[in-house]
Amino acid sequence: MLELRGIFKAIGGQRIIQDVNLFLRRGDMICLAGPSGVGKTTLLEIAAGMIEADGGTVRRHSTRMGCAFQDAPLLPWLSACDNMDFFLSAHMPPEQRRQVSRCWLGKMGLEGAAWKKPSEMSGGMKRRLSIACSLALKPDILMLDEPLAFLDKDCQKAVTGELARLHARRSAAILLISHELELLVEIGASIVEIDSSPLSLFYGQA
Amino acid sequence: MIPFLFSMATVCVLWTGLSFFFGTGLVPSPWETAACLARMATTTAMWENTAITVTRGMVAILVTLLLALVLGIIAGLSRQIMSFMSPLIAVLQATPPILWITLLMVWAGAGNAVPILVVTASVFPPLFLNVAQSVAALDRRLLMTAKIYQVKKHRILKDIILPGIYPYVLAGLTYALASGWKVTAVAEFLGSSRGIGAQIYWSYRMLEMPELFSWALVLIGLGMGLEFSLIRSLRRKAQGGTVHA
Repeated sequence: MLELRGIFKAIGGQRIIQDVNLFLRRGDMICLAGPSGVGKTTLLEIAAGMIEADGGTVRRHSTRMGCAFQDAPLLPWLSACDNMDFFLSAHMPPEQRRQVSRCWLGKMGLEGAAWKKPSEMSGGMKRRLSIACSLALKPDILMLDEPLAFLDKDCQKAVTGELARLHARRSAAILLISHELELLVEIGASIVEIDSSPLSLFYGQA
Repeated sequence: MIPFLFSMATVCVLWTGLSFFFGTGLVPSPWETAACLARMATTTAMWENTAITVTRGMVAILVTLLLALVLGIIAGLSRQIMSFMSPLIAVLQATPPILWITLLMVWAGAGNAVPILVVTASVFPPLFLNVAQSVAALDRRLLMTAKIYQVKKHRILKDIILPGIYPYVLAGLTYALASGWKVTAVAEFLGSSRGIGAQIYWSYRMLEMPELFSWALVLIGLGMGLEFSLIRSLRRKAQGGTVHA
């Protein structure tokens, strides 16, 4: 589903990522763990196509990819509800979008914020909204940057529950960055420890 | 209202003074001009010429706006296309309207084409740059995320690009309206047989000073009407606040 071969990336003249090879198949769920500033977020954003690598190739065999990043890019002029509608628009008919959006806003504790715009929401709410978009999609590739941080117990349960379901059905390749390792091990994620700097990694079978 | 009346009174006093000084043959008095204007207002020719000028100006602005939106969005999204277009825009910006008027009179004759195309040529560059720069300043990460979610192009246009550039386009449009209006009259003066600009030209050739002054009043009146009705409210919308005169 997701192949990264020989990825290199330098930021400001400093090499952050050096030779990452990562092969994820349907049903794989891995979590990158390690100290902050080691390049995990950069690697996830390269895998998602948010930023370009300096070298190497990224291949995604996906029809619906869901991503949530730490800065949660949202449409500032649309409400939470309409933001979800926008991001789901390519994958579901309107009626289903409405239902799925309402359901996920509820699960992420945002039912009261459905008609609020991002400027009226806190940073945590925006991140929950962005996670809701990625999960509501029923993605076949899912990439989440710190999906469990700053979440209350109910929301954490909603997220891990959905991750567990996707994992059990073997319907998605999942790449996570998280420090909540016990919660993720419980639902069957493989933890990939990163301690080298610049980041280098070999995971999965080519 | 009081400053407005005060400036009107100042203009009238100065005007009457000039009229005494130069004689009414060269500078018709305000009363003479008003009488002439009242006479003209009963003819269909005046309303026809006014309508022609207003229509030309509006059509020109609309055509330019559409062109600037389409090309500006394309250029704003791609750095290559922008670098390709910027020398062309620089040439367009450096070309004085008088050159367009001359060339277009040769190529297109004396119909509607000259005033409309001259306005387009002179208003397009700033409007285009306005659109292109505001598109280029849109949140890249938001656009990338929409792409990752495979959101369709028309939804990206409708929900990210158009709302994002809306205030800047309104600001550009106020400028285009104010200057496009004046350029229309100049183009008519030099390159058309109908419209207010052309009437000013004929009054000048016949040395019909009261008529010349009356047309000038019509032109100024229309410009001020445009400023107070459309431009002010657009500017207010663009800034999201109030405008102080």
